[in-house]
Amino acid sequence: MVYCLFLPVLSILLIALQIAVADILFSGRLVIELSLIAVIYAGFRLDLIKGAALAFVFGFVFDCLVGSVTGLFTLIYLLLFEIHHRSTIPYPLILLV
Amino acid sequence: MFFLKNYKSIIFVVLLFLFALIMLSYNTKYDKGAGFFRKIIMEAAAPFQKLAHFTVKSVGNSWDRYVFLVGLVEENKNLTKTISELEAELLFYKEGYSETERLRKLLALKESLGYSFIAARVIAREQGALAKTIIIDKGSFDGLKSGMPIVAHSGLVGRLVHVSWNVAKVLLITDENSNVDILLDRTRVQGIFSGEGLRGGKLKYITKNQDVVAGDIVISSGMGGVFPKGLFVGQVRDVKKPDTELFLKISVTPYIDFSKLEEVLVLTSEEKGKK
Repeated sequence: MVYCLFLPVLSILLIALQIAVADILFSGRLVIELSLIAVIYAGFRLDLIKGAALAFVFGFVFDCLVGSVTGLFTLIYLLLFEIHHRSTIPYPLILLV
Repeated sequence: MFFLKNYKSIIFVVLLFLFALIMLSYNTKYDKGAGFFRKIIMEAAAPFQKLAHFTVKSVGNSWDRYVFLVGLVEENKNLTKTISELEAELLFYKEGYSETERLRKLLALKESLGYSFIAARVIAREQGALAKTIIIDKGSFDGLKSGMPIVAHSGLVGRLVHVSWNVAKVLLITDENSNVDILLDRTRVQGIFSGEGLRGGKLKYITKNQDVVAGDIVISSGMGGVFPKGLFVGQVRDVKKPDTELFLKISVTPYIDFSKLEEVLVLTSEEKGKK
């Protein structure tokens, strides 16, 4: 429950920081995708529900603050999470999941 | 129920995927600017963005200033180095330009006088108390002979006194032992210009009844056969009429600044027409 409450706040903070860092330090030429790193980390470390929720929220917030079409980054982040999450499962178990 | 409980995580992910897909499809087709959720997120993010922007900008500014200052020192060094190089280059070009100007004047003089000249470069100066001479880089191998007159910029410099094979010594007109037969350009009064070392020179044997004033131009008269006629010798600086003497005491400032003399022309023959 606490996780669900903090996740949107955390995502907004992280993406706001990401945008500010990219804008000021590199004048928009180089973007450090902190949210992407978080999603990939979640793919490796978190369980499916928590990780998927994180990817969804991060993607959605990113869409809202940066993206042009809402839903694009949400889907991409979910896919990335799923890919990395599956890579952590031993091969025979993938067939079962 | 068992199915839902067993596969709830997968169902949750599938639902999220579906939701994302539907959202994407809907927004791709019916995008009407900022939606409700987007507005909420943007409003919620605004304070954080401001804070993050301010913080990162402050850090960035400090870093920029630090890096800028470090770069400034380096840049300053480079610029100072560049300025030195450019100044040296400029000096080189100025030197070339002034040399060209001098040579152009010499060439003009050469053409205007109609004499045969040999151009020579001053390689040494002997400006002692008793002797006012210069050394030039041409000698007997170049056809120079003792007694030949030396000119520069339409002005009389002196005459050759000692000629070696490759160098020659020039006795300047300001030397105490130098005497040049002259004319005052304005009144055509004739006299003798005698060197006085650092003080320039004086005019001798001009009687008190002659009209001489400060500022009169002194030119060579051409008499005596050493110096050609019409070369500038100097300008009358001061005229005195001593009660006890027969002649005027006239001080003359030489036309040529001998301290800046770098190139000279040696008159090697009479006028081309006469030759």
